Amino acid sequence: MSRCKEWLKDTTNLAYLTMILVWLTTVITIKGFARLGHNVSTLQTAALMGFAVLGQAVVVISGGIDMSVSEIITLSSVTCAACIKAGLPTPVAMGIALLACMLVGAFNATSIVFLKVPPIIQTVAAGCIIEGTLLVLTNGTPPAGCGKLLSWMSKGKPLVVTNAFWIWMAVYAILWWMMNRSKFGRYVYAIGTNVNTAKNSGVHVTKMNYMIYMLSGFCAGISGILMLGNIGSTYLTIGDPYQLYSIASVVIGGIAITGGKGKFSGVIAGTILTVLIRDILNVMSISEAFRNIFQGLLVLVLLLAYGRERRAR
Amino acid sequence: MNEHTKSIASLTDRLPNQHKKLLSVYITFCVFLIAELIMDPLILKSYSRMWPLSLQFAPLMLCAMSQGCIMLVGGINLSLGASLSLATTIAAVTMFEGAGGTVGGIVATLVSGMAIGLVMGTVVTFGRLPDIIVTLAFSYIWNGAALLVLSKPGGHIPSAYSGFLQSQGVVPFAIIMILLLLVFWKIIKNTRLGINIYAIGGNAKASFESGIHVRLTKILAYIISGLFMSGAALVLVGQTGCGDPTIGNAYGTKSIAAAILGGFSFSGGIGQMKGAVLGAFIYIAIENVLFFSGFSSFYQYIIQGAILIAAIGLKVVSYYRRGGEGA
Amino acid sequence: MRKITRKWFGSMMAVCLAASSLAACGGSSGGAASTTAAQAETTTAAQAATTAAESKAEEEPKSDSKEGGYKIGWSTIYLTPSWMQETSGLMDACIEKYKADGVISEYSIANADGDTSAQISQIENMIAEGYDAIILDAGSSDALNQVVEKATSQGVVVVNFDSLVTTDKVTCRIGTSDAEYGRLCAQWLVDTLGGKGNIIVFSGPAGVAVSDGRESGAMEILEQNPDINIITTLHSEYNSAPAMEVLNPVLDANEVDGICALGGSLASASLTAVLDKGLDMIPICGENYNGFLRQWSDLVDDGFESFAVCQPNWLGVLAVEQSIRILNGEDYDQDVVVPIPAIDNNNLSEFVPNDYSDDWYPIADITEDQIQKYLTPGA
Repeated sequence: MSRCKEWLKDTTNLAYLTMILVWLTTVITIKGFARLGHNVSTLQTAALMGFAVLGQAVVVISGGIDMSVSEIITLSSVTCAACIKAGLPTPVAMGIALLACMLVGAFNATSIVFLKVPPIIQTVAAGCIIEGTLLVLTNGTPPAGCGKLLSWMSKGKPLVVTNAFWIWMAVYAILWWMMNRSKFGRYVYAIGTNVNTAKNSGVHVTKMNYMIYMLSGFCAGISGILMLGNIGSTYLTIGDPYQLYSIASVVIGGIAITGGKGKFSGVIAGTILTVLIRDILNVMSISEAFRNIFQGLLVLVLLLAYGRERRAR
Repeated sequence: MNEHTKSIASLTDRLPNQHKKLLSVYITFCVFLIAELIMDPLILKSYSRMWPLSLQFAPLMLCAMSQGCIMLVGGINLSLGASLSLATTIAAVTMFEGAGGTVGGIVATLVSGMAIGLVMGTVVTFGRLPDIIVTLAFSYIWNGAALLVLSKPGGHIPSAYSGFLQSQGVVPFAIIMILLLLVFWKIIKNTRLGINIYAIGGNAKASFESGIHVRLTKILAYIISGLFMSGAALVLVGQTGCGDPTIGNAYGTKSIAAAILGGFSFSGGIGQMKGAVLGAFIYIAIENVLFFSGFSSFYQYIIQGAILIAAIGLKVVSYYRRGGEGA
Repeated sequence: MRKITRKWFGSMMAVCLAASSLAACGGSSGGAASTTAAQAETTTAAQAATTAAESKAEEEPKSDSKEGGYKIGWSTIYLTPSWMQETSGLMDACIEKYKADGVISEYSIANADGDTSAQISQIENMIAEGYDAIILDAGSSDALNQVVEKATSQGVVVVNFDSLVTTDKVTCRIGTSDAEYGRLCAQWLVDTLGGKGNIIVFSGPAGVAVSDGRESGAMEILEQNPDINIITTLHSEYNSAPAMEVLNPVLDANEVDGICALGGSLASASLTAVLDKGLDMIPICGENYNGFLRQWSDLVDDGFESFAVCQPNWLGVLAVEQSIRILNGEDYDQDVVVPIPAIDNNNLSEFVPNDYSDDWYPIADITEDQIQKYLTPGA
């Protein structure tokens, strides 16, 4: 019994438990949700935004926040589309797009480390700059370009679920290893818990910040490229809805927004749970007003269930 | 000396310095005031230009004050845009023709603004949840609520009320309203509540240990923030003549940026309402300068982003050079 | 010492910000800034005089008093969506023509980027700058009424197109009817389904006048047909990625006989979702969004029938033409309602294939005859 209680105290376990319970309820109560096709498309939706959530999670654990995720997604999909349109082979185009995203990450880290701009402001400002630059360069209409290879990478289903999902799992596995088994992860948690202590105990905070924000840019970049592959074209607001979702998913996954706490593995549960909640609300025949209200309330309920801070004061 | 008296001592020590702290904000303000005057010299020629300008600046100024209030207690409000939309829709359905109906609507809007603050403040404190996430969740809720009240722009704002906001008197009403709220804040700031708000923003744990009622203080800060926000809604409905369930979206990020430009800090406990007002002025002046200089509006984003980083970066560097007080 | 450093940094910052603001002035039109300012003064002074004398300023011919041509501004709520880009391009071409003839001396675009309040300020700025005519694509049906009334009362011609304001004081409104848009789509769907079936109504973002207008128009028709069962009404931004995410679960959970998509990208997303799921082809109505038209024309051989309405981009051109007519003192109608062009299987081949990207709205250019027909009063 006490063991069970102990297990439930872990927010990550709670997140996974909630995810499974919600999923089972939908499968039983909503006709058609048991079909494999539906679950594949749910996982595809989760995977496409999931990359950005992976990066956001690392940033949040390190005590920061990345508000430029939406614009980085747009940047990578537009860059990739432009490169493919210009005739570059798909892998090269993807490489250029990801490089651009990592440059944004490096820019974020530079300001945060050297100018001491708070992460939230720096990333909002970076978002503005990317948005403006893309508008000026594309004059509002991004070039359309998407090869067969990219479509296949995103939508192809050689192994039951779409390739995007498998890529998501692969990136997750690598990041999981980094966060749990390597020095990188230990340092990220150390910085998130207390920057000064981390610094004093020999963590190279500057270098770590660069790695963290570039990683976040890289992950959001994959999201953008695969979104391009999924719908075959892109537009300048493609990333916008995912800014708040990426933060919500991280927190629903049991990671503390204040940094340093929560297991990285919660991101998968958080992402899928976010998508499930939206699916349920869309299937219900209610007005948009109530969909919004219930979405907010459900997030709050989940947070009250396991996102609470220790009673320290 | 216990923590409480110490924090009060450090505050009283700080208060006379407040103008020095805002020095960089003042200077930036002057630069942009001059820029605004050069670009839009009609302000000097015709005093009546003050009215549209005051209506242009006032909503963001009030939103920045609202955001600043939450930042003082160490939080951030991501739902400000959605709650602003909600407040405009409430104003549009509660106001009726005639003096009684108009005043009734104004009171209803202000009360619901404070209620919005109360609800969020309560969830943040009693739910022991971080402000950023709670306000994020509430942004969906207020959005939905605004759509419930009005499914599209509409409602009714008495023309006498809009006329009053736009009528040409001695000083634009919107400016009087901001000055009144600034005085209101000044009074609060010197009461125990105000001192507590600054104290818990600086260090919640120490404040608690020194006997400050942290929860109550935080909830009250949220209520005051809601009051400022509904003030912004009242100016907006006067300007537009209707409620609009999506009008607030644009103010979310802008209010944060304006508060930051005005000298507020994310770690809480630092910042002044005057600063928020000036920050909002600077923010809109940037937009106006771009407009009048005929720049493609696409450059607006780039320049705004760059100025945001530069303003904070320079400020932080100057703090750093002075001996690393941090920001 | 501390004080000095602080001051030093303060002035540093001031210099930097001043430099940035100066750069902003100097970049594109440093010299122009002062001249426009001077112009603004003279024109408003002149206007103040004329408005004082005549209450119906727009009916008086102004052309003789204007030496250097008209100063026209376009205030738009958005400029980035491709529909706006296309409209902007058509308007630019028209403006260039008039600039070459010396009819228009100055033209500028103010993009509010979704912020209605900013749009109000921009119109205020245009009034202050002494624009002769303001072309307006409104961000809100009601919120801009007061500023529009102010502009027209000061003798500025306000020609509103596409997304319309409700005030009667606007000089001229040119547009299609949103409700008619919805009615056309819904009627086609009802007819195709033979008056019965389970359908999804797929509308644009909630709380916005355009999507609300289309939705209520569609509902009007659908409610007249009791055998049509509306499964649910969905809302999404007018973009395919979020539209697909919203639609997918609903398609999985229900037997759907038809989708009443009230927007081009919504239709494209619906069609893609149906194809991806391997469902039987169901009737989906749409708009002249290129992505949708292409998918449709690929499926024509498989027997797919559809129907698409157009919100014509040349509404912007009509607005430019109309404002010049009004400024020249010609007669005009206050409300110009342009019939909604439609595409069906018969005339689809006129639009596709083409060289545009998916995110584009192919439409036939407006002819001189059409302009005459729509803008001549009483037509």
